[in-house]
Amino acid sequence: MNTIFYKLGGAITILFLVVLLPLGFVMLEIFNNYNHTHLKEETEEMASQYAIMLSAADRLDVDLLVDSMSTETVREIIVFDQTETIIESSGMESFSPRKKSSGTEEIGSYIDPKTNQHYFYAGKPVLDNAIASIYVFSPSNMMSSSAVRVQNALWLSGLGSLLLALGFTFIFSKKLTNPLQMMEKTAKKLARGDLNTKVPVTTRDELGSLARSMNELARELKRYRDNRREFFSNVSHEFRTPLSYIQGYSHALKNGLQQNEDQRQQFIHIIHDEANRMNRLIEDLFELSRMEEERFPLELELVHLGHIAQKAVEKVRPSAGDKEITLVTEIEEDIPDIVGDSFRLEQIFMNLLQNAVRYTEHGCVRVKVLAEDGKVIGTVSDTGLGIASEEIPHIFERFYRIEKSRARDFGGTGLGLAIVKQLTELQYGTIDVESCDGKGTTFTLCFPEAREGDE
Amino acid sequence: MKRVEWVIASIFIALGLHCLVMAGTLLPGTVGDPAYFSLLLRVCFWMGIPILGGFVIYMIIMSIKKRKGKVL
Ligand SMILES: Nc1ncnc2c1ncn2[C@@H]1O[C@H](COP(=O)(O)OP(=O)(O)OP(=O)(O)O)[C@@H](O)[C@H]1O
Ligand SMILES: [Mg+2]
Repeated sequence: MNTIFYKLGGAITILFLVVLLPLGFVMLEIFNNYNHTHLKEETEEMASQYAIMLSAADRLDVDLLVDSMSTETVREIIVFDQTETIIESSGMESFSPRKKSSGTEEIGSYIDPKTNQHYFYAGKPVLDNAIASIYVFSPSNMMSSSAVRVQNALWLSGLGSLLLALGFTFIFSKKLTNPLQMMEKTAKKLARGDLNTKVPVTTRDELGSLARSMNELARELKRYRDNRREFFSNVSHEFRTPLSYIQGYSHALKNGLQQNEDQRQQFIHIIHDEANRMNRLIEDLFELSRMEEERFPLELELVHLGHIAQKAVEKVRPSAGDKEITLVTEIEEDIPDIVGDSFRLEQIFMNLLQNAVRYTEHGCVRVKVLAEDGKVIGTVSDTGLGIASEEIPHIFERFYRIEKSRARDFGGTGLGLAIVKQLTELQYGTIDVESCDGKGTTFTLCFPEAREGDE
Repeated sequence: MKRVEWVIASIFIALGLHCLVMAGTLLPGTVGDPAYFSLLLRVCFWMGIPILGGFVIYMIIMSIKKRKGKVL
């Protein structure tokens, strides 16, 4: 399941063990060494004490001493005479001193062959005629009760710190892996198509920014999916209307339902118009989809934007004349050339001008072309219906029309501005719109001026 | 984090602290409740120092970053 948690937690735990185990080992070793040294010192001290005692005592006391030693402690005692024979022993007859010259001090370790017990021993010379030396044996694993306690305390503290480390490791790895797990869950949901899920952004580090990007991605994907759905419904809807006209009128013609020749002509006219409209729709759509795929053929050359705007204005002048609209042009003559496709630039202006004329009842449509620090700017403004500010972000979308029914009366498809935007951006330009609802609209085109060497 | 996980982690930490304090009071001469609690306090203090230190360093870095961001 959540393996990253186990991986991280395991890694941290191993790290702790890597540190704690050697530390514990060394601590125990230090403790053992200390204990050993202590034992040696104690044994030596005992041996010399006994040696002094024996030099002043007689044989009976030796018996007593050795007896009490063997019964009450784990230590052993051997007393040798001058010829190195054992006078008295508490149970280790097999031992014989290494040094032949008795009367000197000796320390070392010895393994009792009977019990396999390790001993540490100290031998001391006794200043007595009968007794030559005394040897005291301490088992090397012998520990005083306080030493045992110290050892236990060491073990316990080791265990305690390990538990503490485990607790904190648990918390840390949970805290670190939780966002990742959450993201993984969300990503799975997204992949399943549930685009409304969101990752909570809690931190400001890489994980936080990853979560933010994921949320953005989900939003973008959702927008894309909704767009596509809307696009298809729009396309089918747009085609249905002209098709139903064509179907109806051609059916009437086929069955001879027209009353006279005039009506027949009218029907044919309608069919022709609707077929044209569909044709335009298909062409627009096709062009738009090609533009969006960015392999749209443009014949780029150096062009004068003012001349192009002028040409477009002349083309829409007849339709403006039908309404009470005056067309005003303010075109500067000496502006720098720009790089563009003259046909497509004209298409841009045509679309904007057609819109301006179409959505203006009376007043004027103004076209300006001017140069401004390295840029050539063209504006198309009108005094028409205007666009509500909440609609402005959407007007460049395909099929978007502000009042669906009203726009149908005007005969538009909603593709015009989408094409304008695509064309502008393909020619390295930008398009902006400013509008006051009810007062008028201004579209601003901005193209970079051609630099030297541009062809 | 779920509640169960917090409980598990706290149990581990409490057990660890208890073990440490027990180890400290195991030797004779340090028996009794006051010794236990004073040692517990001191162990907590040593445990808290790295956490506090890390927090302080984090805060300092954050404030430096903020100041830099404002200047830029
Ligand atoms: N100058 C304008 N004044 C007011 N509204 C406008 C203006 N230009 C565009 N609009 C609004 O923006 C919408 C989108 O315009 P667009 O040119 O994309 O579509 P259309 O004109 O309806 O159709 P088409 O241009 O494809 O024939 C229009 O429906 C209209 O409501
Ligand atoms: Mg239009």
